[in-house]
Amino acid sequence: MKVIECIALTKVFQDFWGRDRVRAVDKLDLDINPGEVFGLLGPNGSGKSTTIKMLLGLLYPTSGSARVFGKQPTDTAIKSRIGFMPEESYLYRFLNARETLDYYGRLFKLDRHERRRRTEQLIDMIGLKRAANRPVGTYSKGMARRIGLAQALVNDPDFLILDEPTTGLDPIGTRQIKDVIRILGDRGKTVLLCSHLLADVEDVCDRVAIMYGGKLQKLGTCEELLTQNDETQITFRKNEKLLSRVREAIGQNGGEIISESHPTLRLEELFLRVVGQAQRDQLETSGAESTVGVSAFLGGDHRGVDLVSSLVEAGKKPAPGLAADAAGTAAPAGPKTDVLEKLTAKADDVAKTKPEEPKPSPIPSRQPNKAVLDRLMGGGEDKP
Amino acid sequence: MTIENFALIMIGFGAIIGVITLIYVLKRAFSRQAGELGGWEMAGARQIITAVAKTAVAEGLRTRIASGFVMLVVASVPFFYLTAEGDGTIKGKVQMFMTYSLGFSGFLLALLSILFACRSLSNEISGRQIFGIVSKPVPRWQILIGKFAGVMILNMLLLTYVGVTTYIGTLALVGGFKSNLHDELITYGSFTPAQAAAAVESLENVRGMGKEGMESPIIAAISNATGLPQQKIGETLLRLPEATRADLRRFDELRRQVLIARATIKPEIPEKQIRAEVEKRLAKMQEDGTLPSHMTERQVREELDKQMFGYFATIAPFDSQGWILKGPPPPKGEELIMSVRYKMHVPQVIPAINHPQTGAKLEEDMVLCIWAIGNPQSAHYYESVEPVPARTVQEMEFPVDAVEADGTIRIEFGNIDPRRVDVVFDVVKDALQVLYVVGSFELNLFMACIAMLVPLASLTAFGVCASTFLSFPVGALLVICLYLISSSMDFVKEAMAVTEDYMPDTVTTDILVRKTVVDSIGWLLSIGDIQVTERLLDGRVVGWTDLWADVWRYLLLKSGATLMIGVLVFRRRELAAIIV
Ligand SMILES: Nc1ncnc2c1ncn2[C@@H]1O[C@H](COP(=O)(O)OP(=O)(O)OP(=O)(O)O)[C@@H](O)[C@H]1O
Ligand SMILES: [Mg+2]
Repeated sequence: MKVIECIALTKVFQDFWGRDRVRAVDKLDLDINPGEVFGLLGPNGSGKSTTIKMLLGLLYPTSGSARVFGKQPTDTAIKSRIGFMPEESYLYRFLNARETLDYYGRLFKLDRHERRRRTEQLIDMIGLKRAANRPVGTYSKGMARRIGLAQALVNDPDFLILDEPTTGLDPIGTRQIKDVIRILGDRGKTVLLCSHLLADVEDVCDRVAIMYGGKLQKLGTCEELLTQNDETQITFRKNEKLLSRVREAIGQNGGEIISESHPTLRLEELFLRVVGQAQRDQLETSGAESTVGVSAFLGGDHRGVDLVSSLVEAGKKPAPGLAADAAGTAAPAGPKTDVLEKLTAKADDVAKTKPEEPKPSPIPSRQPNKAVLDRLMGGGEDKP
Repeated sequence: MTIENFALIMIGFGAIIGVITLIYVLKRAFSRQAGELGGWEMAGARQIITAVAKTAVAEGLRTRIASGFVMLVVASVPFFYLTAEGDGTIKGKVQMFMTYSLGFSGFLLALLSILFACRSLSNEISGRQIFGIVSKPVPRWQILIGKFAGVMILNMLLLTYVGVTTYIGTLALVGGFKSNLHDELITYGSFTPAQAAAAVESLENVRGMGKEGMESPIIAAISNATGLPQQKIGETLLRLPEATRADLRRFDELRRQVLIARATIKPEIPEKQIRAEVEKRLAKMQEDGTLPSHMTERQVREELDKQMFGYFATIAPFDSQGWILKGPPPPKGEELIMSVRYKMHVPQVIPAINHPQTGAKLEEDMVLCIWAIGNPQSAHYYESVEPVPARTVQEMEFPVDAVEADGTIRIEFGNIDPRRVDVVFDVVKDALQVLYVVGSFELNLFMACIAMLVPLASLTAFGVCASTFLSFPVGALLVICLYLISSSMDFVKEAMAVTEDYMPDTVTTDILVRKTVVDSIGWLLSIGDIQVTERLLDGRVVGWTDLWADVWRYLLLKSGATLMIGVLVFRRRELAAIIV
């Protein structure tokens, strides 16, 4: 059974007089299989959150249908298997962290002992032990987000829905979210992730979908989507002679070919390409249009320097035409680009190392505590 | 255009708007539906309702606007204690204090219930905390019931506080009087401290009927307790300041008529017989052809009604009238007393004269009459011949043993005033009742507090229901309006001229429509306020039967129905849809 099944799911927001105003989700067909980590991407206002809200029964579809665990989204029975972290933390300002988690635990009908156990462990995990007795109304944004994460995990969900979980979180918190996703994924849980941090999505997601204007633009596994099957990439040991000969005629002689593969795109590039394409096709969107560049008045002396496009440009390997695709402008030249290039290159390095084994995080005490999670979730697993 | 036409047009207009609104609401509720909404399940309801209620209480105690109200309630009772004055007597003070502390807290709590019930859920929807609840396995009806329960718990906490502090305040006022009396008995009456203490103590044991002067049971009680002869006590009391002496009698009244729980028995009105008699006479008149030609049948019937009921309630000069009241079998005890509470009506002012036979002076507006209680054949038959003030509520005490073994009370009134006046008892409107002790003040206060919860529950249900489709200030204002209309419904009825008195002989459709509309609004808005403060002031019991009728009708039925409507609306509501 699919965890999520959307068939021609459509949501049209109306105004007070019942006139259609916004087609936020348009004939969306989407399946999510059990055990999958699914990334839902799209520019601002492309209908991601709206889709999620329909899956939770917070909004009712205008037409089409959505099934969660084979049931109507409004069915309360399925909700005990779902954990939801909304796009912002909407908490009771007058409760403290402990009371908040205890409250949500009660809503899942957990008994007192279990509630206390999970509350303590979660507070430990999100690193708010010190602040646990303060009203959450006094929390900073990121602290509140952490509570949001904890409350989504309190029932050890089979299906975790995270709507932009990393906004407002520090790098450690971001890292922790990734770890949570990975651990849950390893334990066969299903995760639906909305995020704008494409590098992270690329790291953790099995499949991604890109939405634009409420419509699905691309859907597939990361591998499928990012592999460019019409190009081939050959890597061989450095050999000047050979290189020169390869330069002359690559197909003639056999040097030692170590690997032969198709070059892969970064997800970010794919994203820009898809969205750019959609925009060039003049698809309608009710959300934000993808524009590049910074308002001219912000430019100062460097009037017209496309900061954003240079950012995008700088960090990637040469992919001919892409910059033009995405930005519609050529990469600018100038002294600034260098600095930016360095900066982003660095980020790129970090990103490149990420797919490897999870590294210990810089602050040991805040280390994403896999053990804690395991223990926490283990409680649920022991039970039949 | 006549007034009737205008009224009909307006009513029609209102009806059209109402229908349009209804269609709109129904359309919105049922159109864009994905399918059936799950969630009437009962399993685990208790836990979730408790959780929601607990959070609502926390909100009430921790957020500022709600806790401000709580503080106001908490501060008001001591304030009224400090300012209680009344007519200056101890009875007046206590009555004043109780009126204000219960009355005002009742009003504050009503506002608190409304504001809080309207705010809690709608704020949660606009603040989107509701996302976190609805995305959990929580049926929506449990959220509403949880909110209702939370506000009611808060109400109960505060009402407990109000009840307890009112009780303590009353005791403190009484204690103040007693210690003052104690001191004055020593300074003015030259009692020893021990004697003074015993005398004060004995005030609680005064038994029997209140009488003036040396026959007063107060003197007997003090004499008993101190061992001093009654004569001496009387002299001592005369030396006390005037105010204290008055208070002594007032305190006895307070004990027996206020700080007590007394049940009420009303005379049986043979309504059926009267109606039958009216019909019989009417039929006879029709048969004989003596119906007055200028009157409709309905008018004649009303006239006959008036005559017959009047006959039942009017006592002509030198006539007498008996009533039979059926109460519970009387409690045993020689010294127990009951009272007849009555209000005599005389049509005109009666001048002061001297009685032609006895020569005793009869004051203005005092009616000389005989009250006789009990079966004249039995040993326990009491009679009093006294001039009694007309037009004010009077209480006349009599020993309980006048009540017959099966609870029957016979009362006979003789109008023997030489000035030949008609005396009218509006029996239908509670102008004659018998009050008897059924319990203590503590019990009564407790019952009163429970009864005060019923209107609060109605308002809370209104508020919770409103909060499912209205945002905070709008919903609260609406419910406050409804509350104000509901508490001034009598006035509204008067203003709309739909009370019995205004009903003309021929009822037109216009009037009928107006009456129906006003009456049904009155019914819809009634919140089950049974005026407990007034009862407490007279020491009338807030009985289980009244209480149960109130609870059943308003708490279970009406609040239940209101909440049900709220649940139906809430279940249909798209919680994440934002209407700006
Ligand atoms: N309650 C609502 N009423 C009216 N329009 C809405 C409502 N919620 C969302 N929309 C509109 O629907 C579209 C999709 O919004 P949605 O929140 O799903 O975007 P998103 O993909 O989550 O964007 P973001 O990346 O910024 O979170 C937007 O144009 C938005 O303005
Ligand atoms: Mg969103």
